[in-house]
Amino acid sequence: MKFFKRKYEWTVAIRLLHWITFISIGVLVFTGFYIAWPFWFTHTPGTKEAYNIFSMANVRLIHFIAAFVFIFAIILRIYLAFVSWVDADWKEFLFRWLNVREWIPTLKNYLTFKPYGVKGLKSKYNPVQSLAYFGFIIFSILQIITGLILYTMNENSIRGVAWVQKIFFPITELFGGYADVRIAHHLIMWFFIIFVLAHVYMVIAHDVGEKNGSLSSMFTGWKFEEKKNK
Amino acid sequence: MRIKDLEEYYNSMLGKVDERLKDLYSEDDERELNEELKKNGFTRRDFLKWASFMTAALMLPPVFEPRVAKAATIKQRTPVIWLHLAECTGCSESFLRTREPSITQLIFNYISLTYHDTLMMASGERVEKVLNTAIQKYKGQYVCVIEGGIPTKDGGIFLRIGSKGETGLERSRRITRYAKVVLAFGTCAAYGGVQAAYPNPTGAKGVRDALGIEVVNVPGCPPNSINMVGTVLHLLLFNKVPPTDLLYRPLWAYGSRIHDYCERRAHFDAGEFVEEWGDEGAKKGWCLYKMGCKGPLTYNDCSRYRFNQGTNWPIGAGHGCIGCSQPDFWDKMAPFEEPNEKAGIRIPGGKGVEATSDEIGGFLAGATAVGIGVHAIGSVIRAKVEKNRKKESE
Repeated sequence: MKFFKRKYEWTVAIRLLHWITFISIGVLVFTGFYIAWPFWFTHTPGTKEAYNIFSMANVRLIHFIAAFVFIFAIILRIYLAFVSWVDADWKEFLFRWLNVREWIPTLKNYLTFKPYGVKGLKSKYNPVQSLAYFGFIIFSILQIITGLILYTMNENSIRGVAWVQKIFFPITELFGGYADVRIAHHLIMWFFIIFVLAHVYMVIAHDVGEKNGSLSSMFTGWKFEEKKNK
Repeated sequence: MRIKDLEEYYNSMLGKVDERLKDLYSEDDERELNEELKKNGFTRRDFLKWASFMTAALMLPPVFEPRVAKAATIKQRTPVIWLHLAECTGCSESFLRTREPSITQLIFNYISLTYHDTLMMASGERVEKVLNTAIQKYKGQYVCVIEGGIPTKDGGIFLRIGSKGETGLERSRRITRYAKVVLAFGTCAAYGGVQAAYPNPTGAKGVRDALGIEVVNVPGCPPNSINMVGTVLHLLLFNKVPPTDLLYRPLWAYGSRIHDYCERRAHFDAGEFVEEWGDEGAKKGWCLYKMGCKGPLTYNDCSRYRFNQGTNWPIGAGHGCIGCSQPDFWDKMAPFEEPNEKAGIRIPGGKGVEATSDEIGGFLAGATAVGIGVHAIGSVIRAKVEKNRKKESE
């Protein structure tokens, strides 16, 4: 018989932010696809008038609201990573994946389909996780910047150049103009889709393989560890 | 700049403008222009309407209206040297060839166009002589209008002009050196245009990039004549170039986005899109976003002033905007009849192979899904094998 002990893994703030980010990403991806190629809410010409419907404008509004929720969730998460009292994990994001010695056993485990977690890791994340989350933060920042560039395109007017555009202009030039920013925004969106796919699979795989309750830990905050002796 | 600041800025310049006009304005000139207008069938009222239109277009406060009208009559105005480099002369063509000349064009023809490669009668050595005397005579006073990009590869040998076979690079450098203001007219002059599109074999660049000088860009393929005349009028009134945006385009013309002033914008917000050329939506004038309109990415004033004396403009005629006033639009805005999400991304090292962002993303997501599948099956098999081994050992 195996025995488990409970281990407090996720604070309330992190759990809350996780689900807020999850919902906003879902909404953003769906509405983003709609804005790129409006496939829904179309009607046969002549059946309705333009003043009866407002679908593109509404979808864009939802996209912008979800985008600001996402921005503040990411800002808060980075803030927590640095100054949280309980769990300041910025080192996990920034440096854990640089640890070559931990990569070898981790990759070995994953590639040979071994029951997952690498024993003896002291940290919260293994290097693969650390790299994935670090990439998530980087791509989130990129997505937020490209999104804000596109969002503030209509801030400009004949009266003068908007200050946001002045700030973002060097970045726009770096991408090669607004059209390329738009394409980059679309391309980075696919990172989030792939991330969610892999993330959900990994969580389930760890949950099944390790029996550590990692799936439910994002709701309850508690993970389980095998107890060596009773 | 807030609108209040802009108004204060222009009101503070009022005194200077009045002084300037006192020097340049003469009643004889005005009489001459009035006769010219009458000959072409315009009344004084038409002219004043045009003057108030230009005042509004230039974002000047209403007090400037009589001053704009006065400035338009000045005959002794800034001499213009108009150069043609690597381009199609389409900008000049669209500017000059209309069924009936508008007031805008009359005013422009009335200025002293000292040198224009394609319009003048002279040829060969005589042209060079005219050009050289003009440069000497108006040193530091003339406006140099450049139409066309400048090939820069191999010392610019891909473009040779004139009896001496001067390269475009040398020629533009020589002439812009003594110019008061350099105007880059058209997208080629502003950003390189079609000859700067991929793979750009001649290394063509816009005037600003090629020569490294201060330039006012008036891009477009072709640009609206109002943009040109407005910029020249601003020069006449204030003796300085209008405020520009971050890509050095006059703000009064290129400050706003086509999409935001588009007559079909309501259909965009309502989600009413043309799905196919000539379908029911196209007949009803619905939004052309799904047919590849690049209005949301383009800053210009077409949607406000339209082309050809306000007759019509591309989106009004039923084709989407192709974004011709944005840098490198041949590459960035292509394909012109597909939305931006269908734009091909050149895969690095793929020898010009292109894929859309959805193809790239879909491929990577598919690869991830396959990886997940393989890993899941592998894990299940391994778990079973280990279970069996345990049973055997027991």
